[in-house]
Amino acid sequence: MKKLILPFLLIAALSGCKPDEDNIPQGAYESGVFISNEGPFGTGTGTVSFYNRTTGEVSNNIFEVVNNRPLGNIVNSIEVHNNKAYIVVNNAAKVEVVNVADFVSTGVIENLGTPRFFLGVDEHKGYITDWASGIKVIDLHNNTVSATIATGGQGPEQMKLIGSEVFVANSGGYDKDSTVAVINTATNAVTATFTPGHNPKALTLDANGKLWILCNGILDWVNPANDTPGKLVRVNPATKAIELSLTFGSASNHPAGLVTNEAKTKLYYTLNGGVYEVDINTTTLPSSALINRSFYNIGIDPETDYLFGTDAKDFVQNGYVFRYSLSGSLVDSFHVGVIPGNFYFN
Amino acid sequence: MSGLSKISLSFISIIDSFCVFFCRIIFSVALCIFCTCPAFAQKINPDSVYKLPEAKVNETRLNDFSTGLCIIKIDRKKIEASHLLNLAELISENSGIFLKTYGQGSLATISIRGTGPAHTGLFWNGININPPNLGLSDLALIPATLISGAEIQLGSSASLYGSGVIGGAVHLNSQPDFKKAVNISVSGLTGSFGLYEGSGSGVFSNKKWYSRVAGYYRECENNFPYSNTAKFGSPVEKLVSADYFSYGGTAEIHRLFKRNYSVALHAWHTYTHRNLPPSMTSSDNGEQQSDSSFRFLLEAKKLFAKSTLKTKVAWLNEYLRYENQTADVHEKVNTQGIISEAEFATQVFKKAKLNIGINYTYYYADIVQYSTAKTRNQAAAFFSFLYPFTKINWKATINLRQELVEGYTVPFTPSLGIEGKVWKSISAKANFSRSYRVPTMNDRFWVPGGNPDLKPEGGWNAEAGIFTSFNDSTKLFAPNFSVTGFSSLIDNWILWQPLATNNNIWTPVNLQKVWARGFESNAGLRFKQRTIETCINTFYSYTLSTIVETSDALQASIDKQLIYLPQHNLNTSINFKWKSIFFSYIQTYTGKRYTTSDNAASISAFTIGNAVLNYDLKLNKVGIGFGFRVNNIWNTAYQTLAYRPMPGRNFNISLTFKFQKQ
Repeated sequence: MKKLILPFLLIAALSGCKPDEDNIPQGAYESGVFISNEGPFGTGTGTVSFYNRTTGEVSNNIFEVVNNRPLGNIVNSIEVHNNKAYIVVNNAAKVEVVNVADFVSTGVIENLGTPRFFLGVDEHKGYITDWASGIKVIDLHNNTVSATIATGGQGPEQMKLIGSEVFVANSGGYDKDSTVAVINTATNAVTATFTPGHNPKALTLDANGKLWILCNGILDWVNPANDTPGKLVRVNPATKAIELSLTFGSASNHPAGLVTNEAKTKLYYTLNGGVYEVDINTTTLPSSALINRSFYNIGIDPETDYLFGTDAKDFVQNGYVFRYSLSGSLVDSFHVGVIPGNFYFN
Repeated sequence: MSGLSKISLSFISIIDSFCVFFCRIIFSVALCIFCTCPAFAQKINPDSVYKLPEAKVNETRLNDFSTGLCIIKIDRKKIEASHLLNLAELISENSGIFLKTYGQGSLATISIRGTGPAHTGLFWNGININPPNLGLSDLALIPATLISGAEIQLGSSASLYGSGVIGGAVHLNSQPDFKKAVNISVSGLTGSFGLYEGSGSGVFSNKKWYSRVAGYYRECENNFPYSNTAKFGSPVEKLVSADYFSYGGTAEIHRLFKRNYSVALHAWHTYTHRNLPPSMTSSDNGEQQSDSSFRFLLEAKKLFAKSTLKTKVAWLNEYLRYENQTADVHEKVNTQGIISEAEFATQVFKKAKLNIGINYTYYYADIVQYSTAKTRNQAAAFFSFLYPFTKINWKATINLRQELVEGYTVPFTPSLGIEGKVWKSISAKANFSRSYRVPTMNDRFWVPGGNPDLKPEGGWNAEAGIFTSFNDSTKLFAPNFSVTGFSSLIDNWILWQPLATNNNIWTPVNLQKVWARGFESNAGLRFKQRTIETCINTFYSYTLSTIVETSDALQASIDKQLIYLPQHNLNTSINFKWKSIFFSYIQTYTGKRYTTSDNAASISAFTIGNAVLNYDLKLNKVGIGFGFRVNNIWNTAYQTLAYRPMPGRNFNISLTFKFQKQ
């Protein structure tokens, strides 16, 4: 998907942008890494940082710099689709839409409940997971909600578009869940539901076209006897059959943040203060970490195959992004905003 | 990742309450000022410094044994003249102390001398009424109408009052006066943004009885306009979902019996329902909260020739409901406390005074987020000794206190205070003390995250200052000055942090060591010209409260100012009194406050001007008072918390009927 977008971006860049008024070079943000920073809880604003791969420069708070207003409380994620960046602002119940090249605001999608992630389905339609209602179907021409899909589960979180179907992880939200729902994008109807494990959170596709699902497991603070461990599950997206289900060793193991390398041959996730690497042909889970460091979230830049890990520090100061090679060695680090939570590699 | 978001809405209030992040400060005054300047009564009157301590009905540990500490007094007259609505506003205007507030009528918390909101005790006739689940109080919930006065004591007095009194304490004490009198007051107030209040109070007393009853009802639409800087073009919008209503009453009755026995019963009830408005950067989540408080206190005293025996028992109940429609959160919090205390004060060595006492406290908390209802037992023994060096006009006090708290090892807390005359009207004082704070019941039992392994926070506090006291009210020209420097080291400061193994779960940890230091200064002048009496006062405080030790990962916050804590506070007031007319203008400056712990982001300093004009007509036993108040005269757009708007210029008018018979 990311690769499909690149030609569009080139066209956008070649066709030229608006004259620059704020000393922001044309297409300043067209190629690089966006980091969404949630911002301080309670009463702050989140931000978006931009990392320029070529120069290594980091521009923080780019939305406010360009648009002269803050994004809003708890910026959960950012996604690029059709030359537009969709910035999901969870506690403001909205998604801000900007031109990806210059970050100038072009619209806002409002009247959402607790939005989490955006997915571009095609040039007309987008999906936004919303813990309050399921999935909001967005008309991308006028940035309005055209329909709501009940996913049949709690806390719909990450989505993956595979062919004409969207897979949605019902992560549990405020409660708990164990299901992944499948939606036909033509009809917006849930056509199938399967049960990979407790609190499925992250989804990713591998080189063989298989869907991997990372389940967080259940953490019961009062009665640890009710805890269940996380699971890493491989699914055939065509048949929805669970082909492999790897359960983590201990009930206190609650992995997060599933991503793949550029070749999609290896999976990476975080667990108990480490980053683990697992081959897509594995039948067992690794016992030792690739990187011994605790990250708030991780991502992998398909351009460089570097792993990006965020450190939110005390959650009330500017965080860091650390870059690692996939051999596990630290490359460099840079300062971003408060609580860096998600990436988009453009 | 990103897990918190709305999940954590319920935590947010908690996290906030623990004041983890949002500390801020205060200011204050050192000692005070002229008695005639209504706001600041002098704690120590130099003439009484070396006076024999006498067993009086109204004596308190605060008054007798807080040698070397600063106390700001706000008396009933001042409260009535100010037309302010709640304790938060009263403190803010009468001390220059900065309170962090979520907006008009919304959650308002205090922090004194660079400490957090849970580091200030709130006492009602000597009983700590901070609820055990939070360890702090929302001062917007204490209506000005109901209280007889407030004393704000700056600096640690943990050796007198126990856990949590690190930055200071606010005391709400009744002021029984056994003389024949009837005093009835009925008042109506209306103001901008749909504010209405009706209140009344009555005092009935004679040589044996004193009783006071007070009640009020208040409502406010609170839909003030503000410029929404979080939106494109900063449009002017009206605040939504911020309306509230509140009612309550207090009653107290004191009886003096023969042979110097006395008994008193106090009762308090307040109820407040508030819709909680979104911040500029959030959507309206349909949040609302109601708070109900019941407090009863029974006191019995026996006065002997040179000593006093006092016993008291209190029952406290706080009931809170919180709703968040978006997140479908429905919280219920029900806490109860039974606090009992006995103390014996006596004169020894002719002029010295000794006090010994014990306290037993039982807390119960039934909170949805605890696995089951929880309890906590605690007991304390305390000892105070005051020795006046009469020849040199100095006095010294030693206080010692040891608490036993179920589940914790708490330190022995001593303090030493001295004060006295240096030269003519110039006096000096100093105090050195140890303090601590036991983790709250939320810190221990909250699900998920509650941490039973927390250690109590512990502090060492020192302060010293000089003050002048030309409080002879017959003088036509009376200047005053005071300055106090303070320094506190607070270790094992508790902050809520996400678990390294699961970002969705926040847990309290003994994270850091904080050094709070600075000074408070105050200069005032009172002069009388024919029938016009003028009072000018200025308070300035400088507070540095920085993290001196923390985990390696948080190095960026080392030596940085705690968030939401202004370094500079300035409060200037000028009062004129001419016959029946009273006019007061108060201007406050609140310095920049950082919003991130690395001090990379901040919100702006602001200056606010308020004014009051009163006209009091007296006809024999009946009095009529007319009051007019303007808040934020210069229509300053400001925030005490980022993206929480505060109202622009607004007004209220009030009419009071009084009946007085002596």
